[in-house]
This record gives sequence, C-alpha cells and structure tokens, in this order.
Amino acid sequence: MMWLDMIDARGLLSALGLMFLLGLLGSMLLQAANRLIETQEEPLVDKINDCLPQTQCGQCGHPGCRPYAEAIAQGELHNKCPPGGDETIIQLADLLSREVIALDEAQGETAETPMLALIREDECIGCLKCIHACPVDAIIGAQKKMHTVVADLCTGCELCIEPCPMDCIDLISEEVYQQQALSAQYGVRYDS
Amino acid sequence: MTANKRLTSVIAVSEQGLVIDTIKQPSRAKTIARLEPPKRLTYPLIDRRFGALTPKVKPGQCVRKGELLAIHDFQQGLNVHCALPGRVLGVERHVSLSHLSSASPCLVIDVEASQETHSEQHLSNTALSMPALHEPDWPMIIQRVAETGIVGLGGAGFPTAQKMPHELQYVVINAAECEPFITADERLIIEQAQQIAQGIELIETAAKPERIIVAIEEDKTEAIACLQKALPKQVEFQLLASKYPTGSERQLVRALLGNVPDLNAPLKEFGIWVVNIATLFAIKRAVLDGEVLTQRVVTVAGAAIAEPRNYWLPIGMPVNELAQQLGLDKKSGADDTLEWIHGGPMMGVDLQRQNIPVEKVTNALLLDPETNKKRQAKARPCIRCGKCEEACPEFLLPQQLLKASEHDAQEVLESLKLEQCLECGACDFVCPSDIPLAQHFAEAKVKLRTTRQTQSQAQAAKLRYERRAQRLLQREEQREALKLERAKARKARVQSAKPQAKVGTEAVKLADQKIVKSSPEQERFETTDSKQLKTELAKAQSIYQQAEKALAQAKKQNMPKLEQLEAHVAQLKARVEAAQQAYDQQLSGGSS
Amino acid sequence: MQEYLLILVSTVLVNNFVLAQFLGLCPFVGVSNKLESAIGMSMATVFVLTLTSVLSYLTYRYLLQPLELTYLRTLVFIFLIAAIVQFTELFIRKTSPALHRVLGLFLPLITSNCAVLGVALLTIKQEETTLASAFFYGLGASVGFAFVLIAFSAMRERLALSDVPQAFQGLPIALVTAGLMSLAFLGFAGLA
Repeated sequence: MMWLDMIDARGLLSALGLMFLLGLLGSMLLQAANRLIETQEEPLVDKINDCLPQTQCGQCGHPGCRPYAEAIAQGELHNKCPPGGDETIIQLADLLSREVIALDEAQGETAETPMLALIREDECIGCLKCIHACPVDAIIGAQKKMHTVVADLCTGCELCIEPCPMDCIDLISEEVYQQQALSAQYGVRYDS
Repeated sequence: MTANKRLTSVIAVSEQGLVIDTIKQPSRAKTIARLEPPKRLTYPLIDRRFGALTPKVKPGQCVRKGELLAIHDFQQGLNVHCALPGRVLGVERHVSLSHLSSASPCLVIDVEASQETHSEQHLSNTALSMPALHEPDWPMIIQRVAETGIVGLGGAGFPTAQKMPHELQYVVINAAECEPFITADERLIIEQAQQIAQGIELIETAAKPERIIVAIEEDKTEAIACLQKALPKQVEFQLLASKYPTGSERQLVRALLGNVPDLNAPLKEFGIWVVNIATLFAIKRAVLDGEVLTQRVVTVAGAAIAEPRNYWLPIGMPVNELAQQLGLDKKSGADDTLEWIHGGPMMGVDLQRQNIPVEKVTNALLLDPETNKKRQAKARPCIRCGKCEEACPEFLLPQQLLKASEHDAQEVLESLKLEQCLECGACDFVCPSDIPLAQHFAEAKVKLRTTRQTQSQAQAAKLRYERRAQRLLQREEQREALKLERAKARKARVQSAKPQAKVGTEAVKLADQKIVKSSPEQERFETTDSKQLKTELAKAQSIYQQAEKALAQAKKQNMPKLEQLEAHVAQLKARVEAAQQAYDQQLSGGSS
Repeated sequence: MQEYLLILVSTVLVNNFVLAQFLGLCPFVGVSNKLESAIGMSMATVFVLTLTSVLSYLTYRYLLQPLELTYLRTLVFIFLIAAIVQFTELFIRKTSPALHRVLGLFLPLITSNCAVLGVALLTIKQEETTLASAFFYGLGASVGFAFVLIAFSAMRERLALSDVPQAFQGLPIALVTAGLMSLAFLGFAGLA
C-alpha cells in the first residue's frame, strides 16, 4: 500500500506521543496546584451588604438587607432594592462584574426624598405592635405608654404603618418633619 | 525703641495665592462711626451648625439692653443678647444669613423710641451686664466667654469658648484682614489698642502660654504702630505678606508654628488657639467690663458707597434700615438693581436683596457693582488654562475638582483633597470663563458630607438590625430552653409518681398471687435436689425483697391497703425462711 | 549584559507590542477602564508572558528540534500558554478572589492574547537565541505591555471625567487616545 509508505510513521508517533505526554504532564501539574494551593476566604456577603441602604424594609422579598445580600451572593438578581435605587444597582454591578439592569418595579418604587415615620401621639394607645414591627428598634415606648419614633434612627421602611390598629402613623418627608418640629417649638406656622 | 527688635521679617502664608488691589482706602483712615438705633432688631433662632435655640423671653416682655434672649440647650456660646432696650414682638419667620431663600423662626424686638443716641454709653453697659472679674483664672475666663455669647468674629462664627484649650501653649492673634474693602479689624486696632493690650495681658496672666504671636499684614502700618506701642514686650509680631488669602487658621498655624499637627483633630488638643483680634477685644470687654456681645464693627464699603466707613452696629439691625440711614435705599433714589454682599468680594454671600439682620459674623456689607457683575456673569466652559491651579493657596487642583464635582465622582473628590479647600475664592477671581468655582466646591462638600452621613446612618441601622436579630434569637433560645426544662420537670414528676404506683400495685398483685398459690402444704419443700432448693430459695428471696421494696415505697406514699400488703410481705418472709431451712437441711444431712 | 539591555529597551519602548506591533489590543482596551483592574491584569500578563517565553524556548530547543517536530510549534506553544494561564487563574482565584472578580473573563482570555503567542513565536525566530535572551525578551514584552496598559487606564479614568462630545464618549475617544499614544511612541524609533 503506497499511502502507508508515504506516512512518516516514526514522526507521526513521536508527534502524537509528545502531545500526549505534554498533556499528561500539564494536567498533572494543574491538579497538583489545585490541591496544594488553599482558597482564601473572602467576605463577599459583607461587601454586598455594604452596598445596600440598610433600610431593612423587606421590599426585596427578604427579611432584611443581610438576607438579601446572602441571596445575591448565591446568584439572585441585584435589582430588587427600591430604597437603594439605581445607585445601588450600579454599585452592585460594579462589585460583582454583572450587568446594570433596571430596577424591578414589582418590588416597589424608589422614594424621591428620604421619608420618616411619625406617630400622631394623640391617637396612640400604647399597644406595642409598631415597636415589635420596627426592624431597627427605632420606636421607643412601653405598654400603655406613649410610642415615639426616634427620627434619627428611622429608615423609612414603612413596616410599622400596617400593624398599627389605630392607623396613626404617617410617612412624611424629612423637610416636612423639620418644619413640623420647628412650628411645634416656636408656634410659627409653615404654610407649605 | 524695643519695638523694632520685635518685628520679624515678612513671610508669606502660602507660596501661591493672589496679589490684588485691596482697596482699603478711604475706610481705613476714618474713625468708626455710630448710627441711629434701628426700629427693629431681629435675631435668628436656628443656627446652621448647632440647630434650634430656645427663647427665654415671652412676647410682650420688656427687655433691657444686654438681656438674655435665647440660649442653645447644649452650646453655651450661642447665647443671644439684646442689643438695645425694647419690647419683644414674638417669633416670626424671617430671612437670615443662613436662610436666605427660606425664612426661619427669628425673635423680633421692637426698639423703644426713647433712645440715647451718639453717646459713649453704647460702648459701656447701660442696662444688664455681668460683674467684672478681677484677676480671673483661665477656666473662669473660658466660662465668661461662653456666657457672653462670644463667637469667632473673623467670619466663621464658631463658639470661641469651645476653641480655647484648657492647657494653652500657643496663642495666634489673627489680625490679618486680607479681603479687599474690609478694614473693620484694622480700625478697631487703631482706636482700641490699649484695650486689646489689656486683653492680651489678661490671657497671659491667666493661662501663661509659651508664645503669643500677633499676625498682621505688612501694609497695615498704622495699626502695627499702635500695637507696637501698646502691647507688652513678650508678644511677638509676625508680619505677613499682603496676599490673598492670608487669614485662614490652618495657613497661619502652618506658617507661624511650622506645621499643622493633625488635619483632622481640632487645634485645641495641641494647646493652640487662633483668635481673631476683634474677638479678643470682645473677650476683654466681657471679662474686665462684664459686657455681653451685642455690637460689632462693620465695614460698609464698595464703589456704590459714597463714603466707605466702619460703623459700630448693634447685632440684629436689619440691613434695610442701615441702607435707609445711609441714604442708599430706593426712597433716596439709589439704584435698586444693586445687591448687598455680606462679607468681602471674594468670600462674601450675595444677599439677593433680602433684608437680613446684622449677625455676630457680619464683618462687612458691600455694595459694589463690579463684584456683582462678576458674580452674576454667566459661566462659560472651562478652557483648561490652569490659572486656578496657580492661584490656589492650598496647592489643590480646582480644574480637576470641577470636573469631578460635575460628574459627582466622590472618590475622586476625596483623593483630590476637596476637604482642604478654604473656599477662599482665589480660583474664582482668576477664572477667565467666570466659572463660580468656590460655589461648586461648597456644593460638592455638602454632597460629600450628606453621603457620609447617609453611610453612617446606614451603618447604625445595620448595627441596630443585627442587635435586634440577636436579641430575638436569644429570646427564642431562652424560651425553648425554658420549655424544655418545664417539659423535663413535668416528665420527671410524672415518672417518679407512676413507677411507684405501678410498683405498689404490682407488689400487691404479686403478693396476692403468692398467697393464693402458697398454702401450708406447699411451704414444705419436697424436692431433695439441692440445686432446685437453692433456686427456690433465691426465687423466694427475690420475691420477698421486691415486695419489701414495694411496701417501703407504698408506705412513703401513704397508699391504702397497707395492712394487707404488710401481711403479704410477712407471709413471703415466712416462705423465704422455710426455703432456707429446707436448703440447709439438705446441705447438712441427707434427706430425712 | 548590554545586549539584554538592548532587548529590554527594544521591546519596551521601540517595538512596543501594543503600540508598535498592535498585538494584545483586546485586554488593552477591555481592562483599562479602571486603574485597579489594569494593574492586576498587567501583573498577570507579566507572569504569563515571561514564563511562556522561557518555556517555549526550552521546549523548542530541547524537545521539538531534536525530535524534528518543529512544525508542531504553534500547537505546543498554545498548549503551554493555556496551561500557564490556567495555573495563573487558579492561583489568583485562590489567593485573591477580589482580583479574580475584578478581572473576570479577561483572565482566561490571556490565552488568546496574540501578544503572548506572538512573543513565543518571535522568540525562536531571533538569531542566536539563548535562554537568557528569551527570558529578557518575554520580560521586556510584558513590561512594555504593562507600562502602556497602566498609562492608558490612567488616561481613560481622566477621560471619563472630561467633557467629551457625546459621539466620542466611551470607546471612540479611547481608540483615538490609543492612536495618539502610538504616534507618541514612534518617537522612540531612533533609539535602537
């Protein structure tokens, strides 16, 4: 057979042999490296959590910001945080090398200004329901005693509004809050 | 004259900066004048840094000059005192320096018509005052400074008592008034050098600092001469080059003391105190004369003012009344397109034609068309000429800062040291495109601060959330543990009751069975096999022991049928004895 | 010694692999958005390139040439490069997950970086190649790449803040800048 004579059997074998050997060697070395080098732990969840606004509102479907951060680390979409808005989505996309996608409107809308909860104290009956609902312990009070939202600690998560049986909690913007505080202090009316 | 020895060579506070025409004439040559008292006094009740003040007077109340009108709950230095006798009208919404576009609550006083005018009595206490302190120690001085409401009169208005270190080492008296037009401090030095000297002596005796340095620009020759004559020997003089800006606290400390120890820590911690010379004058008046802060020297200047001059103005006097007295309001036929500027042409605030009251920090009121024109000129695109970078005294890069602030790139702004910006306006002044750089940077600083505040609030919320989660978890665990304990206790109780009852009844049953089974005939053991006998014995013994145990427990629990049980147990015992006997017999003898 | 210096100058400045020979443009444009990722990428490329150069020289000289299998050089070199890049990726993934996330897809893409294969093939084309010269050739090529990459990314960060006309924003102005850098590097032509 002529074509058999044309093949340089020795060369072919040596070429194949070389590639095979190289392949074997390479894979062995890589395997060894894989086993020997230890993986460094990285607190990715902490970094993700730092990007979230810590409102603890639950609008993303998780009971707080940290559970959502853990879910994102597992692969959940990063566009579910309305209080964080577009800024948070961009930050997360940057951190995780993912795409910047639009906010999932089903979870809620981003508020334009930061909002605060305010209890209309005349109507409060001291039932403790809002205190138990607040995820950041921003409401102080005791049973049958006045409940008050500490404005500096309120994140505007709105979780206290529903449980109130007297429906006496309002969600107002910071500006309105300041004005109300001033008018309460000085008795000066604000017609805005 | 020993004076010459004290003068040091002229130094420049910064290598960069502007050399500009300061236009201090003619106001620096005229004495400080007085005006008619105003009809109204307005005192803002919201401090932009520290928040709301609490009024201490009621509407309708008659107040004397020097009466305490309002205090801040935490910051004593913010006390507001009434400048003239009058009656309190109440709290009204009014514009002020920090609330130009939105009115804020202000205390308004209606000044009494009967007022003595143009008399020296305005400088001394006519009504309310504090007792003069004789040879006070340093803490007493600090306390008096706080009580009299003295703040930094050089422009920033920070409560002075807060900046006075407990261990005073270096005092820098800031007499550098570098902005054009303003000569308030200069005139005060020329006219009141003696009192200023007394103030310095007071501090020296009470706190004994290592060094006292008066920093003053070299072109204020008359003021320098007056100070040299009046001040004690130990006070050092440092002449500064006439550049703009020169009077910034950080720059002065760097130039005079070598280095700013820590950019983020207050100078107070290092024993360094930089005080404006007008503030020093006010301190002397407060300590040695018991006077509260109710008036200050204000330069009224600008090209639109016929006679630029300094005036002693009561704090709280509305600008419109000042304009009226100087013949500058619309009624007198002045040009009504001119806008007042509060402060100097570089760092001053455009009042936007609002009628604000004179405040503690008002060092000048300008009416200068050229400055207005430059400020209102429309900003054109940056041509990257680099003049702003040559002008910046802090060696920052205004061009880069502008680009970064336009794109809101906060990390870049931080890395470019935006916080070191003095907002002096030197870059504004040289910009050929009329870009309001200082304004951009002020806004960028506010944004940066807001972001930081939001971040720290988010951190606080996160912490509270985590603590709450932990607390709830702990409560759950405690509840579970309690439940388990109770369940265990219940079970233990039940078990300890049940087995005893069980044993008791069983024993009775057992005993019953035995009695039924056993009869006198059967008590005889008929087997001869020793092994069987042994087993029988063992059996009888165990039954007996069980029955005894049961009896003991039944006794403990006071069960009924005790006598019957006892009888059974006695019978079992007899059986055991019989078995034992049979066994022994078998062992000893044969079968018989 | 002097010839090694000559090799270095030649590969870093005169015949810069990116700006003069137009190899390795993919990571050059892709990773240069941020300075942080550019620095990480440069370090990885320096390691890969230098090692590739040395190993490919050794393989060629002591394996392929004696066995008369020089026609297999492209295959073998690609194989070597793939193995080295795999090892590098493994190392980075285990020791610095943050860097791994930042570099993302561009790390395994070093395999297809034509600069790396180019260096391997060009090394053996040199007259009188020695091990040392191969080493310096690879080192110089990678240092040149790193230098240009870092400089370019610094420029791109500045460009992001500048007033670029909308039609040019993003990639177009980046390419224009790269072209201008290339022109600037022509000035080194007279050096060697």
